Amino acid sequence: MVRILGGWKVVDIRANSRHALLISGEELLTGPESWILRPVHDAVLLFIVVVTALTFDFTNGFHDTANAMATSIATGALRPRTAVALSAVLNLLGAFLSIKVAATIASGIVSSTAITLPIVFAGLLGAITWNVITWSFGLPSSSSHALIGGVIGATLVSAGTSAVHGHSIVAKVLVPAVLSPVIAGLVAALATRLAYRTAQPDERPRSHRYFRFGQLASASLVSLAHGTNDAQKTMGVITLALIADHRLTAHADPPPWVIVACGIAIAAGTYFGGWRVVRTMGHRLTHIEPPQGFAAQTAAAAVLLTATQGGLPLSTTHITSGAVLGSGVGKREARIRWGVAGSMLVAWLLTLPAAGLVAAGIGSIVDGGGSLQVILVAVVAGALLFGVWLWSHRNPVTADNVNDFGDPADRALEDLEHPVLEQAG
Amino acid sequence: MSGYVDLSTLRNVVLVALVLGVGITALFSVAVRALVTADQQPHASIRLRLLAAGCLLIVLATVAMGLWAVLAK
Repeated sequence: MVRILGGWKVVDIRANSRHALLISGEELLTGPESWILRPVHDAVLLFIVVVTALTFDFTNGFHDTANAMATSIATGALRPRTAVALSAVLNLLGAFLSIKVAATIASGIVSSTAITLPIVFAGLLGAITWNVITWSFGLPSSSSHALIGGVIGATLVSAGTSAVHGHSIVAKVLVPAVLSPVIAGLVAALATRLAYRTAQPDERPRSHRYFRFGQLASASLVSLAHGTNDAQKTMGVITLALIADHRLTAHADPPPWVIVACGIAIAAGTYFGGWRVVRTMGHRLTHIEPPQGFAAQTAAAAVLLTATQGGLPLSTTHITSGAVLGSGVGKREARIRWGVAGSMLVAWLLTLPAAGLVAAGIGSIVDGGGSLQVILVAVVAGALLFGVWLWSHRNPVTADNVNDFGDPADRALEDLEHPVLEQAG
Repeated sequence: MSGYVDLSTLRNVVLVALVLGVGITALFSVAVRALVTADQQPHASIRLRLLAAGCLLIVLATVAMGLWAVLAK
């Protein structure tokens, strides 16, 4: 008799055995000696999951480019293409600096015994869908929350509510989601107020030039921090898939090829540039001047690195969005578009349930199924997402027009025409 | 909320982030002001540029230490 159970082939050499068999993860807890376990490998399914994970990493890169570079692009500190190229290189570098948080994305959120390859696939597809939809509306939302929401949704339909750890979701996702923008906004508002008090009002054009130089460093720091955080999340997912397919032992570190592939995917996505989100962060939320951009990026980097050191899991997107908003609050007479901020808040609130809902739908189709079902779902989802991409091209936002926004009187156009690197050269 | 997040860690994160974020911006702003003033007042140029260089060195050292602390963890 041969049965497949939890990714293991259970072989009973005694045909009439009536003993119970309990399996927890990779460990046989009880069972007669006549029962042996052999791992089941599904190379096709694993390949699809790895490709889907790298696709998510790519969308994470282009969705979160705005986190680091939006204010530098908006103030003219860097040309758009130069900004995303710099950010891509630093994200790639960041991916190699540490693998400490690589396996934390799903740990504690759902029961590890409930994770199977189709569940990982469904969770990733839910997250990709939410990333592409929010990108098409130019809304910055957390890719990490989308991924967590996807994994939760897929696990719920597969293993039920008992497999989802509610306390961890509140502690690791919901509380940080509230705290991140508040802390970053507070630091950025104070820093901005101080920057404007220190600078001489009649010498602003000259001091703005120096602040643009400062933005190169602060934006680079945020990009590096983003690479160390976000690339590792996908590394964690692929490692989880390799463990679920019994190609790695539990708690194993990501193999070198996973680190390289994830670094390249997030860097490629970053270079692709999520110009819609860059425009929202750089122009639609508030008009940003170089001292504000420097203060916002410095505040974001300070909060991000301090929270990482303190073990507080804060979202990069929420931190940078809060910092940009804070830099608007910190400057006197600054105009903040609270309607745009409200839309962002709604997107943040919807991220977890929306990604979860999509993943639950996909999970209900692929759970327990084979590679063929997963391939069909991947093809249909790919076609639908390509449709969203085509639809968004009715109103294209590119590197060439990302700064063409708002009332021209509001913007220092002459600054945009002379980026720092060009002036320095 | 204390059941969901370590409040002492949260307090430390907020305090350190405030000191770092506001401190670095303040030091950089002083450096910018010194450089702008140095451009206008050639007679005090060297003193002001030294002040700016000092501020920027402290900023660089702080960032390097912060990065080292995070990556070495």
